[in-house]
Amino acid sequence: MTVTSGEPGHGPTASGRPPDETFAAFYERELGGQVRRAALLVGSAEAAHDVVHDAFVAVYRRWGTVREPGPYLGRAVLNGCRDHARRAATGRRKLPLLVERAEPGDEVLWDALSDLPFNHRAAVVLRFYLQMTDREIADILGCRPGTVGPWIHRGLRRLRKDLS
Amino acid sequence: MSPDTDQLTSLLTRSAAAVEVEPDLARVVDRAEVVALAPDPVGRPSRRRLVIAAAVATLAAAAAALVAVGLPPGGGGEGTVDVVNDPPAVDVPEVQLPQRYLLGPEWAVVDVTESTVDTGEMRFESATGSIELFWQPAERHQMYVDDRAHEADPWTMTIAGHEVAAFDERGEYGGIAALWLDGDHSFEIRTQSVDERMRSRRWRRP
Repeated sequence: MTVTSGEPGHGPTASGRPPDETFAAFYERELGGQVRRAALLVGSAEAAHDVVHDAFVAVYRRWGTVREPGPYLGRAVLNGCRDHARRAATGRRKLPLLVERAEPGDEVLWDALSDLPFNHRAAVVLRFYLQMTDREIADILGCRPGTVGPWIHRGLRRLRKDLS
Repeated sequence: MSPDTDQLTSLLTRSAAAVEVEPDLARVVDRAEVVALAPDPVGRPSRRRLVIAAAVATLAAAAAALVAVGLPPGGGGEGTVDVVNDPPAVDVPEVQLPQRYLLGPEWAVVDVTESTVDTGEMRFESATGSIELFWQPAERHQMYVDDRAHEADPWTMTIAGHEVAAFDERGEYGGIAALWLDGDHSFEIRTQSVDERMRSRRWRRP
């Protein structure tokens, strides 16, 4: 199968498909943001690449029929991260800190973040890394907007408790 | 943002920036051509399904009792629930669709998430409100009870044979939380749907 190169897109966030956008252009536009976001949820750049590329495979196979591949990709990545977190949690492994030059408190905060239930952690990451609204977070996590606030609230409360 | 959320945003931003992104479009194309759809696994019901079934059985009785009796104004103290209406009979086979057993046919399961084999959450909704159920390993129970006690004074009651620590949390994301131990798991039900009518009606304390 041949994939033609396309023009780079604009913006790092998942979105609908512009008319005539090639898969290659979509891939180039979405890859960085998706990998970085996934890395925050799985704690590994390598695992994030695996999860995101699996999601791209799913989009690629449906490229002709998916009307809004951006949101489809975003949900596929989140589901992949959730599956990864489930496997990692079974082995009782914590997320490794991604930054090499940590600041005071980074490790405590990161450990607390990795201890959160997946949905709470994802909601916190999407809010405080990407500044997404409740509605945007709900759409990507597949829940109601009213659920997002309590998830973030409980996540922050747990983080504050661990930090104190 | 408060200092701790500033710290959180800083950490997330620095962590994301530290991730190197290496495009590999060929990997997508190659895998898309060779990956075959795997059949759905068959066989014994998973432990997850069994845990959910057990959780729903307890939740059904507990939630029914909460709805039936309402909750004490202001909370606090210790008491015993005077159940006005008996909870519905609950009979859950090992594997079954759980929404059949929750309060009545108007309640539906709208979300199920299992974080680990021992940790998960379910969300139930009806036209009148929603209830969330969380389950955790039993060893975390006291930690969660202590955490909820920061938000509200607890009171205890007995629901479906379990001693329940209940909290009436106020504030933007407040609601009713009730936690109890059952076997190897700590259960918590939370609802923001308990309005003032439920807080005030049909509650008698000894």
